[in-house]
Amino acid sequence: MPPFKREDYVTTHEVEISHLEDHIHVTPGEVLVPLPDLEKNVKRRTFFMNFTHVIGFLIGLPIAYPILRYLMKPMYAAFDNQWLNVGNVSQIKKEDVGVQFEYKKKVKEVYMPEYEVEKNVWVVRATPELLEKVYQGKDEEFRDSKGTVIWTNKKEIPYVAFSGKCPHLGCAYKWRNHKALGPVFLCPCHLSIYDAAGNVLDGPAPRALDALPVRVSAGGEVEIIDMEFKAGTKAQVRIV
Amino acid sequence: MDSKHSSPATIPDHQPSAIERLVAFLDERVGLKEMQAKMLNEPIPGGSRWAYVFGSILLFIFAMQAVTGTLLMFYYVPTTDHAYDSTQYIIHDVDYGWFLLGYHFWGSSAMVVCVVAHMSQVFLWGAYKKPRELLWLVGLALFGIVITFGFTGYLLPWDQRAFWATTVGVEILDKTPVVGDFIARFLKGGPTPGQMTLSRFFVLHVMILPAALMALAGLHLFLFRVAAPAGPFSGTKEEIRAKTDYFFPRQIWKDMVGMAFVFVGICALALWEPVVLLDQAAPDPGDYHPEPEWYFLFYFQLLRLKIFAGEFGQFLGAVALPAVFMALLVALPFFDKDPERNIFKRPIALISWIAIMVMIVLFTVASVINREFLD
Ligand code: HEM
Ligand code: FES
Repeated sequence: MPPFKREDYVTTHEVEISHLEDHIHVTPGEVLVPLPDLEKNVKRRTFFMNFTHVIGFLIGLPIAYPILRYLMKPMYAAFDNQWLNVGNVSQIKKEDVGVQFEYKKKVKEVYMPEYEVEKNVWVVRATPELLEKVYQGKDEEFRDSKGTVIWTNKKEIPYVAFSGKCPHLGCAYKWRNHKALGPVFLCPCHLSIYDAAGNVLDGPAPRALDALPVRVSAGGEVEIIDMEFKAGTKAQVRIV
Repeated sequence: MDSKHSSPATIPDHQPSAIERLVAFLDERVGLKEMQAKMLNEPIPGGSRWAYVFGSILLFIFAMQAVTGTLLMFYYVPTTDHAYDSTQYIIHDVDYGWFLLGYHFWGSSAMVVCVVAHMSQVFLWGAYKKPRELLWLVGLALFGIVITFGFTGYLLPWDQRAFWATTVGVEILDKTPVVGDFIARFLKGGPTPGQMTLSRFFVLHVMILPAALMALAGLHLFLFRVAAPAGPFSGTKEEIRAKTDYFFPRQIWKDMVGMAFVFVGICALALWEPVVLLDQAAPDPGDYHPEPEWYFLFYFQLLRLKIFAGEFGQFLGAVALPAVFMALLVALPFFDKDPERNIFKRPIALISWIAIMVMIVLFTVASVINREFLD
């Protein structure tokens, strides 16, 4: 065994290794190994450690924002205010009854070719009493994203069209016969119940059904502007 | 390392076989024997127990989910015009496709059941207490990952069930204050569910979540070994020491029996309750009554309660309640500092656990009963 040379060994007091002192426990029987030659005169270990972190941040930070933007690309789409034909009023046989009209809407997602999704609205031919419950004496205005009025549902037009999306959490509701409440709009998801005027009778829904812009031509063709509103809020917030 | 030289007991002219030589070759370079010893000779205070099997079973289920999931990807196509048909193809045309899909489907349920069992065990045994707080926190993150796996996987077949569960699920996230709208649009990749939603859920389900689960499960095991197993919650130091044994063989044996049991159970379910898709997703559910996966049913039923009606009620039920529950679980090891681990001496813990379990069972049953009223 070569003679012990003190200068080949270091203690924590002689070398700056961050927090080494906190963790070093030398117990009897432990073996001390020589510090490699190349390490002997290295100063500023803490500096190099911090420098490593800085370089890491300099690599990480500039790519974080592009990644976020990359993923956000399809999130916000402009509203489409086209009128869509959904069917003929001759389908409606009785007043104050919900009748489902199915229609197809063309959508275009990112680069993909336009495709059609099936959607539906509930159209009610309303008696004057029901109309009063729907409009409460006021015409209903619809605005685009800039706030300009694009259409007004006149309170005396007897056709009301409700978006097929339940304002509670977005399920699709039906026109059903309820044991106690009679014919109602009923949502099977969390059992929200609405009357023919769209008002909440029971269940967790925070607001009435969403009436859509509707117009009926002389020939009885029903046209709507397809809109969707955020579910679960008291106020209507348009998202489509 | 030098056992050859130091053990004169070896039979004098025993020629090592090819395999023995290969093992010796690898051992010299990798340190296999030491690794094996480190893995198997882990002392379990108080001895092996059936109660400790759930963590290992979770690892086993995850491995099987990875295998079956990878196989499913050979045919599955994550686009709105092919997801449904490719899944039907797996079920009806690919040899044993129905079985692999069934296994993956029931495996996900088994994972949720075992995660709850594992959490319950850890909770009842008081194993989350000092010094295992971080272990518990990483466990909670794993719990979140398992739930997110279920939620994202549910959409992939793109049938009516899938579409509606996602529609409602994302609307719930949308109710988070301030960031809700952003999170919901971010997940949907747009204002409404569509192709971008399917793509995003797919990437989460097959890339991000598995990677996250593997990383966190590794950390979980590392922390588990650093802290050492908690052992039983009662008994004196001497009693516990007297009963202590290693992970191998008794605990491994129990774990293996547990895994075999779970494997047979999942296979049986895949055989007898094969996956049947509903109609292809469409914005009109027809006569289908939207419902989430069975393990979310209790929560689904909870949201039907009157107190969760209206905008504020909705916030309470959909956001505040789960957030507070998770926050309580996160805070648990930090406010419950009493070192007492015996569950029979922790009445609040015991009663809370029983109350939660009873509530889950009751609300699940209620939601099943409610189905009848809907038709
Ligand atoms: C994918 C999910 C999970 C996997 C694969 C997993 C795996 C494991 C394994 C293999 C063990 C070792 C022994 C045992 O099984 O008790 C363990 C222990 C433990 N796990 Fe998990 N775990 C998961 C989720 C969780 C969750 C959700 C929690 C709680 C929030 C949790 C908390 C703990 C704790 C505190 C221990 C220590 C138990 C003791 O020392 O007795 N784990 N886990
Ligand atoms: S989504 Fe209609 S009641 Fe909940």
